[in-house]
Amino acid sequence: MTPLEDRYRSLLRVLPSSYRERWEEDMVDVLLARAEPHEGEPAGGHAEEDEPDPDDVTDRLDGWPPLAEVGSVLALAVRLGLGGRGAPPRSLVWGDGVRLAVLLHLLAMAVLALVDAGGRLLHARGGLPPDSAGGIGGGWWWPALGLLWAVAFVLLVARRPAAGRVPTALLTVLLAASVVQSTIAVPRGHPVSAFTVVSWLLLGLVVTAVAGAFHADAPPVSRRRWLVALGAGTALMAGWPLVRLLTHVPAEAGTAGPSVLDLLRPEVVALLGAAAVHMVLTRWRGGSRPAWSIALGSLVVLELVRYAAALPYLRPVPGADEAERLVAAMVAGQVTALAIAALALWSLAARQLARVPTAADADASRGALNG
Amino acid sequence: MPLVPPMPQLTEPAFLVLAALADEPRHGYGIVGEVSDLSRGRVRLRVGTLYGVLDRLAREGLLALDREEVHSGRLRRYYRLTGDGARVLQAHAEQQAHTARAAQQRLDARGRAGTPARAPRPAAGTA
Repeated sequence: MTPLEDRYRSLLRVLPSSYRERWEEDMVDVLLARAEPHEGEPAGGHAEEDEPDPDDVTDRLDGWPPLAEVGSVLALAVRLGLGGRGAPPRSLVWGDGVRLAVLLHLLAMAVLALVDAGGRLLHARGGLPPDSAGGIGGGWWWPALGLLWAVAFVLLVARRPAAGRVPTALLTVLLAASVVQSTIAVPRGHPVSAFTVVSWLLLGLVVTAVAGAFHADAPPVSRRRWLVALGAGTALMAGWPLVRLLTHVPAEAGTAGPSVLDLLRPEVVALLGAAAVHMVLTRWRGGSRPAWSIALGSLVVLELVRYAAALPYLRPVPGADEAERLVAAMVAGQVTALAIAALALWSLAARQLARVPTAADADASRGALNG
Repeated sequence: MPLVPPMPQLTEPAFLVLAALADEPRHGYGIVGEVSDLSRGRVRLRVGTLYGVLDRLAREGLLALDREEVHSGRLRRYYRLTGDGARVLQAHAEQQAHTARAAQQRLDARGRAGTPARAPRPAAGTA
């Protein structure tokens, strides 16, 4: 076995074992034929035009797989893991779960971006008091960039051919801008905070999930349902500042005390509410919706990681006043609730996935049916 | 009314792989070369793409294993188009030919008219 063949076989280990059993020898043959072609090809083969230099062939056989081939095998591994039409049942469930998580995350970010942009417009025209706009400040550049979430969401739902590519590109721009902006904002000589790095990593994860899960075999998305969700979510979220104003209770004359809603992140409330509804419905109806368990479980973990990265900055320092201790307690409460929800959702997902056939099970049953 | 099964959707690589197998069985590397020829060098299938497509087409029953041979000490499998594969390829080829004919007819009509479809707008301030 040449070093190249050895490296190809190592690379192919990223593919599921049932898939490798069926295709590995074929794939190695094609990969090696590209490195050592040109002898008299048998019928069905394809001869190259020029006779190669034998030294070149030896170099290639001792070398490394070309990056393009490595990329295509890795992309295949992601497509197989996050299956679409015609994929084995368990891979399809994982694919559906990740696609659902991506759509829900993009929906949430799109809603926040639209409400923020709307609030800024009203504020600029004097139609909204500064306090109700939720901390409006800064220029227009950053919120305008935030609208890329909304554009990416709509394009993903519109489900054009190769739907994942343009949203992936848009979100990559967002990631790059985020990295540049937060690097510039850090004073010279200071390291970038762990929270910022975690934010970059999470955004990179979302970009990877969009690119990996929305491939050519991904089933079409229900356009109407998701656009209705965008409208409803934006309307609900736009009402949040009004609810904050209504629940705002001054602590003392002349000073504003925090309301409970000030300390609750709306996305955490929505996520915990959705997790509770999903678990109650699953228990009540007895049905199995593993894609929802995976999607909500992933989003809860995402939010938990974000909060965990922010915890060091939110810890009350000695001598903290009542308000600071309340903030820290509320954050700790939300982190605990998220951790419990993550555990509950993933244990439910594990139980549901155990009932879904694997690729090997599906092949065995197909073999039995065929005789 | 007889039930007609829906026509499977074909991506461009899947269409080209079926077309590469239309005249004779081929092995993986042979398919790569044939697809490159059919697309005039525009589509160069990488291994990940090729075996993603082959796996899906085999699962859908559009191609099947024809035979196995040993070549340079390695196992080489040849694939052939099935009857269903030929029907699907035929349907998609006819659809593409129809689209190409329609586009050509419109281009011919445009050439005969000799003028663009939309008249240019008069410049502002001119009568």
